[in-house]
Amino acid sequence: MFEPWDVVGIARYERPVRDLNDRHCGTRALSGTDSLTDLGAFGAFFVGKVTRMEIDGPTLRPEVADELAETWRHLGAPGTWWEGRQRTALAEVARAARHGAAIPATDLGAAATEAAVTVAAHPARTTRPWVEEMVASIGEEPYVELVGVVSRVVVADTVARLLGAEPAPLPPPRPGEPSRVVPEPRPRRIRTWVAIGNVLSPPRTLALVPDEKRRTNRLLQALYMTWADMEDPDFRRGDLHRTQIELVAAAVSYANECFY
Amino acid sequence: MLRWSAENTQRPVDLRAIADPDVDPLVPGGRELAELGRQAVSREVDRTAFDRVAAVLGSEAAVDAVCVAAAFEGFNRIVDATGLSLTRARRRELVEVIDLLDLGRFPHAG
Repeated sequence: MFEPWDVVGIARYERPVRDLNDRHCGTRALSGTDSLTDLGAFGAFFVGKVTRMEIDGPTLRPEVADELAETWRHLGAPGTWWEGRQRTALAEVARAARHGAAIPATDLGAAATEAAVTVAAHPARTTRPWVEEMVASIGEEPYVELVGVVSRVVVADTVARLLGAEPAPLPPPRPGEPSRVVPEPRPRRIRTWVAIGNVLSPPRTLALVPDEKRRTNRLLQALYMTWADMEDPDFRRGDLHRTQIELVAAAVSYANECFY
Repeated sequence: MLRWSAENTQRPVDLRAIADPDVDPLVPGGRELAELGRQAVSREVDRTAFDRVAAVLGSEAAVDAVCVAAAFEGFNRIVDATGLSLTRARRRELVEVIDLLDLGRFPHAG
């Protein structure tokens, strides 16, 4: 009766079915599910085919749920410079570092592990010499992809944690070779520590790895607002006015000691 | 962006609330929203932070605030890990805010 869809969902409450064709997400009230057999812990992310869903309480906007689902699907797949198993390992290291847990043993190598730990747990401690050291060890493009992967894992985990959910289980790695696509023309390094070209703005920072840039920007815009909406000081997202949105953003950035 | 939005929409805001939880931001639900933002960064999240925002602004707004907080956990990392910094002109524009919040002590203030 109902078409299955891919979904990532977090919900803390129950309420009756509102619209079964709505792409909102839930956790406790999921039923009639398919391939969700071992993801049923209360509050967890779900990635899978859902054939029927009941939702209660706050739900993620459909575009946010879609982008989180896409982030999780893509995490275990081959990237541009890292294999799927390496990307999953980076996520595992980043998650442990972010939450102060023991860093798991992987075959990522010392530099990639250090980079994932630092970006995940101590981003403000990065320095130009440190980035140059990382880039010398793992390469500039792989470093940029690592930054994107780690950042998106932290983003997804933060959504879960603030909603009182457990972080989603990491997806199984998928086989395949990285695409090793290099942007043409390759961006130049001007004032930043990695090459992002001559437009110095956050959407350009991952320009060396176009696929990672595109996916990360889509996720961040779904969660925050589109680049176009950023021009509007009176922007509203639902009941939140731009001043309220920016207060949250400022509090996060201050707590992270992010000067930018 | 907070100051810019407030000034352009004639809404009051006390920027000191970004750094000091005891200061009222003068934004509806501001104390609760700022605390949610702080909780996003902490290792051990106080899970009532969401509920407190929801109690004041409603659960849908609280979910949207969670999404904003999560987005900036990403933005902050990407910006810091790639060395994106303010231009001199932008820094001059923000000098009052930088001084007010003592942002010059942040590692990347250089």
